[in-house]
Amino acid sequence: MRRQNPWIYAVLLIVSAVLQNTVLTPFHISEVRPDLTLLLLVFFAHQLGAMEGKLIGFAAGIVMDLLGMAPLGFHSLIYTVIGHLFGMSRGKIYVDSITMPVLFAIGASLLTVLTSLLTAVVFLPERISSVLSLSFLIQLGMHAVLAPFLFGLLRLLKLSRERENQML
Amino acid sequence: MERLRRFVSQHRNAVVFVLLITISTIALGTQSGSVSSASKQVGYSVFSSIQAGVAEVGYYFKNFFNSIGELRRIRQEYEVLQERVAEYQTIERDLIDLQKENAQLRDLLDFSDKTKLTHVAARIIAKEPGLLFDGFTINRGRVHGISADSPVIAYAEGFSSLVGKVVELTDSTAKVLPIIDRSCFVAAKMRESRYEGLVHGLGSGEDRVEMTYVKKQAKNRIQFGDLVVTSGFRSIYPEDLYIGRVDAIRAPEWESSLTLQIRPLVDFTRLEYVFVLVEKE
Repeated sequence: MRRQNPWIYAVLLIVSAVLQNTVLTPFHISEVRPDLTLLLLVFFAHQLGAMEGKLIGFAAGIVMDLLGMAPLGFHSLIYTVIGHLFGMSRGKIYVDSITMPVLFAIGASLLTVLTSLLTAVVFLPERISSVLSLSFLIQLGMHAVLAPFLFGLLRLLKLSRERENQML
Repeated sequence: MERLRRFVSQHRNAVVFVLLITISTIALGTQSGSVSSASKQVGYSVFSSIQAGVAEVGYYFKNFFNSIGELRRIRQEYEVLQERVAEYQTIERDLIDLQKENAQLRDLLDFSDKTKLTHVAARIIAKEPGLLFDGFTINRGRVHGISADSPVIAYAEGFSSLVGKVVELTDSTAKVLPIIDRSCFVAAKMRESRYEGLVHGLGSGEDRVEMTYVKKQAKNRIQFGDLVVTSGFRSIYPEDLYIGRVDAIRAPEWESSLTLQIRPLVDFTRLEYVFVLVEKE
């Protein structure tokens, strides 16, 4: 099997982080926006494996920290953990069209809450109550709804790319 | 050394994981809760131009699609407005006379512009997408005269209302910490009764901010809907900028001061344009 270049995925994640921060900000429900970078990271990590997953997660997290108001290291830590854990599922879990993307999205959202909570307890105690707010539940729901569509789209793109490579 | 190398190659995955987590943790630890840091400032300078570019492209397309729909409405409005212009031309003539009279009266009163501040209009080009932090980026920076801690205002309900302050900036963009963020504190007072307190944010999940350390004897003199303004006392914010209206009053027996819930005048969910207050040259 041909090894995929993780840098392309890292760039895609960084692009998604920039888009999420700029042109996608008008799309929200009660000021809660879906974390598309997180969903993309989950998909890419599952495709690439643990090593590449955590590296691209770290890169995307650093960019998120630089562009936003979060202290440097906050998103990079969360995305490294998520990239690593979902990368471990490579070759072990078959991702179907609906159930697994939904479960992956819920799992990633819960992991984000857990890691955010731990980080907040140690470094940002004034923000603990923000972690345990209703907004996270809304975001979790958004992720669960979006994941099957996003994963389906990414799978289609992946298939068409593989076909192109075969023809070449 | 050989053993270490062998250990690293055997546990490459775990070593890289621990390394990345350590880097993130050290970065978090060194900032100790502050919004801005030198390392972040360097990185932000690099990515801010990409962010501004993407935002401008997005803004262009948004405007393009909006303008198609608006064209029809504008045509109808144009005809109505033409009729109004005729009326206003008459009013204008009267206004010019009044302006002349006003200028003469000002000269007589030796009126001077005491304010040392002027404002720079800015558009919001990016917003914090996460849930834990609040903030946004504007398309004005150092070259427009903005500096760190410059107060940011917006016009809401006819008042110049406080939005927040600049915390990080590059030549062409600046990050703004809004008053709704948990790490934003503003010295404030009641506009009517003049009782002072400290306003701080409760996070974006809440549509209100909180005013604490208000003297308990103020309880009978504060009413729902009273306006809260900046006190200007030892603060980066000038005096008498509007913050919001009193929405709820809490006076627990075990506390020596009141806690007021304030509904900001500015609707942060719909904010698009702001003004940054800068020193006059």
